Amino acid sequence: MFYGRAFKFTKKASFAIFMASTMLLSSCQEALQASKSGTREDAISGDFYYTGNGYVYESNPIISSGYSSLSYPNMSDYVSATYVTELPYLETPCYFKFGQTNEDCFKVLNNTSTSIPLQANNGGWDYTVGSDEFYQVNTFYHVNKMLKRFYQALEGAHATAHTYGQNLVPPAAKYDIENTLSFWLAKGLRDPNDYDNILGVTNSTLNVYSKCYLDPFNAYYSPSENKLCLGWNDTNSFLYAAQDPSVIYHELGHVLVKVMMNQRNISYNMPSYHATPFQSELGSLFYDEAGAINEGVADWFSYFVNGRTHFGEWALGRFFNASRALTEDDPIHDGRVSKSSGERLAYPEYLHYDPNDPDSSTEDIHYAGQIISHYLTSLTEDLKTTCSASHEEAGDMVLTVLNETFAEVGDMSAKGSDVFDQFIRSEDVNLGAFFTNMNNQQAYLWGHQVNPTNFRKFSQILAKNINYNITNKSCSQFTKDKSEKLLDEYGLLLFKNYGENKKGVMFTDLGGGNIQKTDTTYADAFSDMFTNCSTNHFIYPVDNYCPLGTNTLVNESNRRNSVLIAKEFLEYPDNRDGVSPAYIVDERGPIETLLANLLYEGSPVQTSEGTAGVEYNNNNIKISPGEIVGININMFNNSNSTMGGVQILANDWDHMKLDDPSKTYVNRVENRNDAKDIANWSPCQIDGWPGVDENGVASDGDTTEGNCDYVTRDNFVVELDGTNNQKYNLDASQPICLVQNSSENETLWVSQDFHRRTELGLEASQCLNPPAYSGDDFNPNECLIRFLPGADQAVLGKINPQKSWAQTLTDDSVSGLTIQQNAITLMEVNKRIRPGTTFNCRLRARFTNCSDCFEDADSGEEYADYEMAGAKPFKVINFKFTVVD
Amino acid sequence: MKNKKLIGIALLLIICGVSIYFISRNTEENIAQEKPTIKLQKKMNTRKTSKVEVVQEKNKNTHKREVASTPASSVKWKSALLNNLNKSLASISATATVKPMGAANLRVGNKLRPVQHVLVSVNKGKGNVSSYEAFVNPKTGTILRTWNQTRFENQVPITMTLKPFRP
Repeated sequence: MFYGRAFKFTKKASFAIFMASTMLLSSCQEALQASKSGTREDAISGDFYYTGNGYVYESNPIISSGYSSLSYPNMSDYVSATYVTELPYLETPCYFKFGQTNEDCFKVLNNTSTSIPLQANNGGWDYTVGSDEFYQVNTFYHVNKMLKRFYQALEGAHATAHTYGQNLVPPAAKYDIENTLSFWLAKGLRDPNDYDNILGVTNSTLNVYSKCYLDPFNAYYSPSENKLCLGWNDTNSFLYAAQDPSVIYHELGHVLVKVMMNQRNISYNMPSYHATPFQSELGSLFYDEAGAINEGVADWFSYFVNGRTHFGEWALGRFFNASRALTEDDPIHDGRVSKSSGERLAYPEYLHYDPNDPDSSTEDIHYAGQIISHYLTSLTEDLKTTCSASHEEAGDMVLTVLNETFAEVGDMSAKGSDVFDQFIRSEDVNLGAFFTNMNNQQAYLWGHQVNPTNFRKFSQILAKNINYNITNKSCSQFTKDKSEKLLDEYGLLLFKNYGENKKGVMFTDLGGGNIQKTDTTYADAFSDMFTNCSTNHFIYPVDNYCPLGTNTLVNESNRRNSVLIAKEFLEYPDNRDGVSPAYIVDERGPIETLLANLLYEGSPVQTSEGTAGVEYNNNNIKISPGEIVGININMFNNSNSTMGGVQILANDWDHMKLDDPSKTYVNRVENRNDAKDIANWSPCQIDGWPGVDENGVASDGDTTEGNCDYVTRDNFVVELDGTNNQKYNLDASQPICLVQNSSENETLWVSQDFHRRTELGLEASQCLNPPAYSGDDFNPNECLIRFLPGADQAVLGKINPQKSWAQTLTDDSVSGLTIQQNAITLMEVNKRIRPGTTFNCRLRARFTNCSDCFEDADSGEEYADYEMAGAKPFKVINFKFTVVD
Repeated sequence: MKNKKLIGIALLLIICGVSIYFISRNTEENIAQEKPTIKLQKKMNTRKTSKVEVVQEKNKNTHKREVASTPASSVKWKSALLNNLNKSLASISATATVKPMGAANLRVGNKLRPVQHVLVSVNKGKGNVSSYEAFVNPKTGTILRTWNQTRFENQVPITMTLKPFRP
């Protein structure tokens, strides 16, 4: 017994109390222990209960500490108690005007094996600083902050485009966006038994992973899976991408670009919906100008949120030497550029510029994107000064014009504005006027390859929107001249008119399956559809649009830095001493690796197994039967100024003519067995080639369908007759390679189909892309040589004056060239070709700062989209070669 | 004596009770399933109700059409596609999975072409997973079109060494 008289304990009782106390102490100890890896962290105090607060860092560790050489962050030094959310989990809907997303807009998760978001602890988020939960809370805080800011600006953008003042250009932003829900990641709910039957619309939830394992250290956005991955790995386990809010804002910027670009791809007409089969994106290749614009805008979004003109100091800069500035005054530029006139970070000179390694010259969308980020930041700053606007107000104005621009370029319905959307008027979506991206069937191809968003297209449409939504509405002091001068400082005054009266094609149903296609303009289409162009007459969906009917011209005195060059100066150097006209690779391993990586990246290339394949590649630096060959066309700039954004297309285009317009059946076994009228195509003469005596069809001025002087208005290739046999459209685009048929008396250039039948006797099954792979898409005019879809375009960042592209990249290009995948096209060669057969492939090339690639040199009028299926906007390259054994 | 015993037992019970409370509070599963407070529960209920109402409101307006028959296709398209994908990806030690997302009819000219809509995911290891949507030819298993590709922030380019070629 012990203690005094008051308490007498037996030995048993004492032992029991001892055991119970031990239990009590050990359970308390467990509560206070730091969390082990993978275990859930407990909140540490009751101070934050019912406050919605958590420990938040507003900036990255370098900015917070003021120490640029920081090696190891002590996050506790940078946090303060801040309101995060009152919601019980780290997930939330998004709100726009009077509506909200019908699913959670986003949720934050730890890593890709987590499915349940973190829960608040009694209404608070006070998790241990540095724990996984802490980073989830901070990621939620910053994503939520940015989205709130974005929607605040988007409300203003929507009102400006649709409601304020008179609209002299058709608004592109979706009018009834609260019905289509396309202010966030929206998609149609498709009937599982009928894809085109849209039962409704829904928003997707973006899963944001704050500790997403990635080696090497990186971050990514996956639109197909609605994932935003902020990287982490165990090499530098203290380093989280999520520690740098500017990186979160940049990544989320890519999501918002996607949202803005796809807002028009859902339409609503009570009670029905329509959704386009594809979604658009900004950027297709490893390097292209659309991707660069996307990076530049994403960098600007960081500034939009936090007002800072540098991005990624911690997550990118400290360990990877890859942070970026958004203004010329930043020390990183080290005086190489400045805000003085003529010294800005301008297009195309600075396309390859890496401020962290200025002596290098690398094609990278992040480097090229700096031109856009610097321009947008300068625009915002100028609006603050000129319009006496706050950072927020100026940011709202810039977001307005970005939203209008992206809505137009991303439009897969091809209308460009609700004004022209037939579906809204209870008509067929496949009829009416198409002004953007060709038409609703070709929109993806046009918007991403044939007429993609490059620096010219982006800046022209942006300039138009600045003129009509800022100068005309929000801030008249920011005049057209001011806008043009600023664009010119960045080399972005790449156009001669604003394109307000756009050209397009009107599809009219004549009955009996006949669709008439006629040229139209905004003004023409509007007068067809509406009888009263008056501000007093309500016209759904906008009540105050009246087309201008003309295109406003750029004031040419504002053009001092932006140099436009005629396309005649872009050469294929087949006869230039010291310059290789092309480079090729026919080594098996590299081609195999490239094919696999294209598949990984989402540009799969379907090869013709059994007829061509890497097993035939012999690395003899020649083009041999059976090979898959990588080709770089080494274009030469014969002008005195730099050419930017050179694009080389090897896709099908309208360059051939049917010998007999009554014979249109595709040459395949079933059609021949049925004795159908089999089509034969001959090449149109372009730039004098091929001569009439070589089977070329000369221009005769006949601009009716089926003739060389007429360009397809729809790019439709094959139709089915009543018995499901394939017939060519009269102006069907055709594969680009012709074959030389030589005899004793003459040399003719013929279609591959003609050659394979008459010279080789090949059946369709022995062709490249045979019916077994291509099905209804089989085209015997690519039987022998075929540029592979998915690798049938190349983009060359820039070409310096009086140099070839290879000479621009390196001083030593004589013996060989190591280049990136964006500069290579892939071509397969039928193993059955007789060695000695000569081919001529009509590739097309153009470049961004071209004076006559996007507008007619004579009339100054912008080309309609359909012209991009023809020769006029391009420099046609005759890539001629002989297949050798 | 009796009182002392009772006090002792009571003390023991209190100590055990407190211990059990702390132990159950620390259990990993229970942390995620803590019951929300009444105030928070009310807010949760309000939000859930409004979410349901919004969805119901939207669905009320949807237009119900006659369900069309499923387009005919070969069921072997998926295995053909997967085989082709993984065969090509073997050279970079990556593997693909394909998730069917439904049959579709793609408008081509005036006609409708049956296709299969899929989600392709390619795993290169170490967290590097690239995904995209695709339309597939159900007769041949070949990919017709892709979109919504994953956007990696810092992508290492594929470089190749080419030799000069003069045709």
